[in-house]
Amino acid sequence: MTIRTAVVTGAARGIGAAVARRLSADGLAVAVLDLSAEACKPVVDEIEAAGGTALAVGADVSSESDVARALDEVTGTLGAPAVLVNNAGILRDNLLFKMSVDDWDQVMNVHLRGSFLMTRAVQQHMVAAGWGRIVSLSSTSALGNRGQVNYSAAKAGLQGFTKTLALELGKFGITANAVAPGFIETEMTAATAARIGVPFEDFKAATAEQIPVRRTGKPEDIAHTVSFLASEGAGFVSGQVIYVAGGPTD
Amino acid sequence: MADQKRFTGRTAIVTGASRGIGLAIAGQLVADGARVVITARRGDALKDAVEQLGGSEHAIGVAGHAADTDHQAEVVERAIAEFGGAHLLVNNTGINPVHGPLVGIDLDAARKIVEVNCIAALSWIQQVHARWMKDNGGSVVNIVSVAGVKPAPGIGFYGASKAMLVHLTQELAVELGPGIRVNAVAPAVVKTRFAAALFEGREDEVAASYPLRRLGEPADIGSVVAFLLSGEAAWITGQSVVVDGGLTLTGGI
Repeated sequence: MTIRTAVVTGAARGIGAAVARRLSADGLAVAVLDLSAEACKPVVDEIEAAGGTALAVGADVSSESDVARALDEVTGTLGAPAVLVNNAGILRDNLLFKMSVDDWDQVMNVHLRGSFLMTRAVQQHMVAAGWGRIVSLSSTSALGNRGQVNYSAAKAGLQGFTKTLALELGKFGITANAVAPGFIETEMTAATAARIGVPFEDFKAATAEQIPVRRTGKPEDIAHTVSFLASEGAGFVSGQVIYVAGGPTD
Repeated sequence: MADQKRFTGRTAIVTGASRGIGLAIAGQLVADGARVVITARRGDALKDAVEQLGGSEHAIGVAGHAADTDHQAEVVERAIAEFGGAHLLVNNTGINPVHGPLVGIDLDAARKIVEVNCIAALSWIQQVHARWMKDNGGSVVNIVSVAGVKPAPGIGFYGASKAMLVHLTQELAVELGPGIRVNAVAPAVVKTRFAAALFEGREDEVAASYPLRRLGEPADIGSVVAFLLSGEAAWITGQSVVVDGGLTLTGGI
């Protein structure tokens, strides 16, 4: 039996780590990729302790040479990637009039340039295999969010990116979809609460009040959906943005 | 427990399930451990479907008209009495009896489409809510259509009715949360008798316009419906998931 290989970017923590653990539980070998291989080690250890196969890979997804080197390592060690999860992301929130060019560029580079470089490097393996799954992490912020002109533009950009991948790569048996989380409890959203000076528990409770299912999301909620989109059962779903937000969106 | 599946101990009602997409959904749910109550107009077709689903241990067929509230009430009551609950509902029944421009559509046909595709779907939710889900929670999936997401000339009124069901899905998600989740699945052309006019005799030609270069199979829909009904989708509600092989990206339906 061949074991498929998945690459999950931004997988040292939060949603990415939950996705990596879940894809491993689904039976895939998982490349846990983040800026530093050292930071990925706890996730890899956890996967291995549970009987799975994982590899810690350090790379900056916005660097063309890093991406090339990382994928050589993944392909050589685990095998050619069949699943790619473009999850790496950063926040550099600020109101437009206070946002620096650097804050704009960094957010664009990690989300858009990073997803482009990773996907361009991985697609050749998927095309050769005639099978592939690309899942990119968008966000409800793509619909607009105060203080996130850079992040919302990048997350909306990933939706267009996904739809175009679906058009170009569909005939090779590759699906491309996006998952758009609402408020998920992670270090990233804790940082947002800290930035606006609200205790995280209060921030979560106030947010949950506005959500039809009356709770904030957990990284596992997103991991389940990514797992589904990577499965055989989602083989006719392509070019879609699945909002996992505890309620309707738009 | 080794044989514990994701819907073990759950009962699903699937309307319009004697064949096609409805039967595939029921089949997926049974494979995942659920017991199902399936409906259709014709009892003989339901009998065959129950056999295909593994017999009376796994499935009950109740014949009736989907828009008949007495039939709906009977189905929900039998689900509770014979299979122990009504945890999951799939509104799959739909009709598409007319083809042609909207300016020429027979208005009685239009009323009938709304009656079956929208009012009956809402009524099913009312029935299952009153008799089970308001006290026990649950999960609902409405089967809509890509024709309800983008214009589809020739079946425009069918599309309009499905767009209404998409909106009902959102309203109900807000109204019935947190205990009850309501989502929709929007298929493109799936190879069933219902959609035969859209592909028969020219499947390759039609499939060429799909980015994934094939038409849908009923099982493609069953797997997505099962995911949305499951606990893995616990933070997904009010959403319509398009299952179309990429078709709506191309501009046409």
